[in-house]
Amino acid sequence: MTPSLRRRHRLIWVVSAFLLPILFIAALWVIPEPAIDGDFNPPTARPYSEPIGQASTEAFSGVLRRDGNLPGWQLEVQLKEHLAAASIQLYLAENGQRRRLLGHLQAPGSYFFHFFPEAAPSTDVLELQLYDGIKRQALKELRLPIQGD
Amino acid sequence: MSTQYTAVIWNREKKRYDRYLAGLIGLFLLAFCGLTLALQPEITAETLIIRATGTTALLLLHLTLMIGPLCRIDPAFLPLLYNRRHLGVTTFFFGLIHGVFNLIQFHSLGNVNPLVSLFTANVHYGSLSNFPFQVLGFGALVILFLMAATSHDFWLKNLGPKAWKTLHMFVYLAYGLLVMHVLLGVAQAEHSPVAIGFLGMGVVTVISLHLAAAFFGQRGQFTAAAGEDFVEVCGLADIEDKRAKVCLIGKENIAIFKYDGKLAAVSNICKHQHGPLGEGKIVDGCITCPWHGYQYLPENGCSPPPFTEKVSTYELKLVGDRIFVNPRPHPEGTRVEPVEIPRKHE
Repeated sequence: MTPSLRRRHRLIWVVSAFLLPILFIAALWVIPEPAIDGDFNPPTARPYSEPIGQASTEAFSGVLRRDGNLPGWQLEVQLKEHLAAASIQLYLAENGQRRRLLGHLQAPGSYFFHFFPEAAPSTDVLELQLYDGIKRQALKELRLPIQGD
Repeated sequence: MSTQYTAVIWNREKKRYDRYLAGLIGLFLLAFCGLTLALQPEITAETLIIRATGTTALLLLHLTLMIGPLCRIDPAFLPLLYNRRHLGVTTFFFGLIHGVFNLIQFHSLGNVNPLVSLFTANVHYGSLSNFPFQVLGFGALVILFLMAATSHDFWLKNLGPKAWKTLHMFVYLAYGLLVMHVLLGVAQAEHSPVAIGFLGMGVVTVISLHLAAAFFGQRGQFTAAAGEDFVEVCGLADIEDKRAKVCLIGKENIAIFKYDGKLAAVSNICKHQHGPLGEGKIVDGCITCPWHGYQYLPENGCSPPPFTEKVSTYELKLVGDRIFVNPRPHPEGTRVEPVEIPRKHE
């Protein structure tokens, strides 16, 4: 390798040694809040006993449940059709704005999520939004009225 | 080393290396797919292919980038350098599969050309958190394509080593783009500390190795300003038999070889890919480049027939046990009588 080529290599890596870690940390800094439950329950999860709200559209439906013996709420989301998006994220929303990530959906089917009522922006209506994480755009929305005690 | 172009050069060593490479990639893919299916049983086949090929390409790129500095630090890694080209092309092919499946899965379902969709589906170019990270991956894939397409010696010969090397240094840009592609893409959506941790370790390792090679890989190299006729470089005992001492005098990069009781000096820069001849050794009476095995006769800098490559030669003199070199190069291929080492110094 010629000395000038070696100098160029050295310069590139000295610059990279500063630049890459800065960009790395900046990218970590903007990672949105993780999913509330870390991950959704497996499809074999048993539904909680008491439905407290449900709603449905052509694309997906949701049933919110609770159980007197268990803490928190359980949301069952059924994705009914293949959406024209491959990376589908489910968010709790407020007036169309994404607030909290519940988790990721893949193929059509049932998905169970667990969260505490404090995570919901409203205690009257649970606003759900399916979001394309690749194209960064909202796909579908669902408003699920919550029945009071 | 070859006198004619062959589509892919597969000698016995390269075949063995490629078998290892294919086996290790197969094992990695099996482990990756098995683990992913166990942890995320709902994953679709398309997503699994995208993740497996993308991860494999990223891993292979890390390995490719580590080989160069490892060889500077320890010559024991040189056989990997000799075979690095196939690793680079394999990296591109996995990146290509990843890219094509991404285009199909994420951009072919609308009424816009998938390639147009890639650049226009997400236009948050001013936002770090929403940045269209797929564009970064596409940029890296274009660079890897150019490198894979020109990796053949035909292109090296026709572009010239300087232009070829400059083009192939864009791999560092591709690496930066891919790291950001992962960080602004999957890391934003998956929140996986394991994936981020592995990527962080990879980045730290690659940067550390390159910095170590840049600052410590040239220990022992003699450096002097130009101006004198003969410059004292080192003692006889400083050069191992059949090896060289490299010296940089002004702009002349010179390798002084000791072999068969003689001393000879040639340019340190191989005609093939500008490899460091002085880090090679004498094999079958020829200076052998550590990178790809190109060979030169020490006394005249010519490749043995039927090869035609030539490098510059330099005058040497021995005073006592001290070696002096004249940094003015002779034209490439000029014979310079090797300096005989008196028996008392051997």
